[in-house]
Amino acid sequence: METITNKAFRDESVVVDDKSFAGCSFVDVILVYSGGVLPAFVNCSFDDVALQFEGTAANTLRFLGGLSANGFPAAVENISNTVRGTK
Amino acid sequence: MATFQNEIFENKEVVVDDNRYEGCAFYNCTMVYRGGKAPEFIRCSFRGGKVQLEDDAVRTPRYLGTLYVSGASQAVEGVLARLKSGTLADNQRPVACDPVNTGTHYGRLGLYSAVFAFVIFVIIGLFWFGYLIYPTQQVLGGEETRPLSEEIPLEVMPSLPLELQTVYDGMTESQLAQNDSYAWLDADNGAVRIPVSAAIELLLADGSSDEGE
Repeated sequence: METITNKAFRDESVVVDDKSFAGCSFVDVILVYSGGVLPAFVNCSFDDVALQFEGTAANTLRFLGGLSANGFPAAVENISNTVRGTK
Repeated sequence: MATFQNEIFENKEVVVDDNRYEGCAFYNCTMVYRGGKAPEFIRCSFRGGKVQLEDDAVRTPRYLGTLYVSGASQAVEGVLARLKSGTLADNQRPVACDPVNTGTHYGRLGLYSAVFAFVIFVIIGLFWFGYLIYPTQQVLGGEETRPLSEEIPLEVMPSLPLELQTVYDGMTESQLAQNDSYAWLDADNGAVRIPVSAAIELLLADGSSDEGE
């Protein structure tokens, strides 16, 4: 895993798969995740970031979104609670 | 890709990767997704049940959770909101039109219209040649065309009396008079005309019923 320390990202796209960010700042950045090895963020700051998903990650969100669009929002709600750490 | 149509899944664990479901119902099912090609759900219904992510699919919620606790909760909430509204399910919606095919492409519209008009013109020309020119030039051998009907000159038409009613009445009266009179029709061959009533009496007296005698 690549480690990136104390770097300021601004106005760019950053592929985060299999990377570890420590003390980094992300301003007006698009974080791109393709479903690979989970990245790590330690003491990072985020300001106006957007999330972009590709590959397996995009497929997973399509699956969940498809369930929600077909009248199964409870499934997405459970995933959302898991993401927020409330369940 | 396997396609399931109008099936009911009940109390089952359904692995949905790379599948297409049309008009299916899922009752208390565990929808298992492992990160393969996203399944398609068309007009499906769900009652109860849950979603279970496995293998590669597990990472995406974990990634979102990592971002959420690391300070990018606002961005994550945006994704979750779009997930809940179904607007992230782009595979469930029709493919957007190619931008080049929308807007104000008047040049292309004019070109297509001109081609269309040319094709119509050619078709009309072919019909015109096939129905009018070809039969005359090729079938009739260039013979001068003649009208299918001709107007009959007035002098050829049979003349009718001006007082048609009077003439008709006279003719009827004459024919009735002939029915009740005697006369020679062919003296040489002995044919005479007798009144109808007299002819009936003769036939009855003779006892003959054969017609034509």
